[in-house]
Amino acid sequence: MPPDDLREALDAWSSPAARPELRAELRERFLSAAGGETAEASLAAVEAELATLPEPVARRDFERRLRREFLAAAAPPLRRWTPRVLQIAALAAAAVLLLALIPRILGPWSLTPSSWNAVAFDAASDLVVAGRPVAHLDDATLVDSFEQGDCQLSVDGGLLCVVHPERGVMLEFPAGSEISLPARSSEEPGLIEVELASGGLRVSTTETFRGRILVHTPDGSFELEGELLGVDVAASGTCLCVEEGAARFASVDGAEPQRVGRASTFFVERGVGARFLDGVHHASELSDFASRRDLYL
Amino acid sequence: MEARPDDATAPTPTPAGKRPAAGESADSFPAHLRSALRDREAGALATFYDAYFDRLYGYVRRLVGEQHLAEDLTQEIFMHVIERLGSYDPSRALRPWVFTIATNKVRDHWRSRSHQRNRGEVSLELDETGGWARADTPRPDQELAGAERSARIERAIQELPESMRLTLILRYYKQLSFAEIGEIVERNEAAVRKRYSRALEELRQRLSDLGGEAGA
Repeated sequence: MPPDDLREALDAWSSPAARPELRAELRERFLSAAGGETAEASLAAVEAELATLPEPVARRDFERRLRREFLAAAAPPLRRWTPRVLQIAALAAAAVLLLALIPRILGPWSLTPSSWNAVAFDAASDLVVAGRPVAHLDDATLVDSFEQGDCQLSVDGGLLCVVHPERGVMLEFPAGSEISLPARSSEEPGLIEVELASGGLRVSTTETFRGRILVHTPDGSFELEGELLGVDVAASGTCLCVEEGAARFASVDGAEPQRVGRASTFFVERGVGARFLDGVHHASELSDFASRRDLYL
Repeated sequence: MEARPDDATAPTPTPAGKRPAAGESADSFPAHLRSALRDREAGALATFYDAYFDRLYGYVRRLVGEQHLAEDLTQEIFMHVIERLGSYDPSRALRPWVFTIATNKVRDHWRSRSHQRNRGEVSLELDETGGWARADTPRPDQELAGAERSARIERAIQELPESMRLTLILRYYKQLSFAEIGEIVERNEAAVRKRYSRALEELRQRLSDLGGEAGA
């Protein structure tokens, strides 16, 4: 193309017009970029407005009251011994409660183990002590009877059981027992003496038992050495059953005393004589008695 | 713009016209006092209370607006501080720990049923100390231009989303660093910075009709 023609053509070419949308967008971006500082300044202006707000002020009485409460509540916690004291107190309370409940469960002796205590099974109200009905087996009169002696007991029904845990001895009288307790001898405080006119007596002792147990029957006297044995008086005579331990029998006619060892039965037939029987009679009664004994000794 | 706390590590200037709270610009509890506080020593406890009462009350009041509610929450916060003292690690700064407790307490309130129920209702409480009551109807004294302007700003802050409101107040009025705020609201520092800017932008828009600098 000749130079003149080219010049003419260029002169005839005009710049195309931009789209109005593009023009507006570029204008906005140009102005924003140039005014970045302005945008930041507007946010700073907001902060300036925030600075005009007064600081909230609390009521002084509220501040003072809360201060007192805070300092009081923030006092150092109680020392460690305090919980321990509480623990000890709780344990003591539990122990007292347990001691209070044990007699209801096991019997009244638990509270006073150093003396005779009565343990009832079945009908206690049928007991007669010195001709007088005893309403409760832990009645002081009953306990005194075994402590002091010199009284009579009648077990019309049920069962009478007395125990002396400290001495390690337990006595049980079944229904139908007629008993006299002689006055206690001051010369032999360890002596337990029972006159059994009828009915029965079961005895159990522990290794700690020190003393003698004398049982007088219409057919003779028995000195029980322990540990688990029973004497039954019937119309035909008296029977001694020894499950554990030993006893000695002295007849009323003055014959030579007989020794009765463990796992044996010795029968004194009234008007006939004494003899050993095979096996242990009244074994089931002794077994039941032993199970009750295990609760107390 | 002397009020803007740009640098998280440097002490920030007190906003113009704002009464500075005691020790607000820095954590005034040195290590030995923090240990004593953890051990509930009486002197440290009193120092702590005196240093933080205004800060915490002001923080809560700005967040919830109402005076009596702010008092109740402030009391709960201090009692909670007592409960938590045993678990406080004196090797760590006290201020984020305290404001975390305060923030959680306010959040608990916001999540409470009573707050949800009352939300949106106009408080009838009138503020006897001036300002910071959510009174939609200006009191006579607020009809003065300055007071009305303050009331508008207060309302605008109250109308911010709760997360923005927390960030704004912790940053601007309590001058906590972005890192500290992040620790409290469980966000990273960048997110907190962004949230703060958004809060300011939100306020700018809400206050655009005020004219003057904020509406510029």
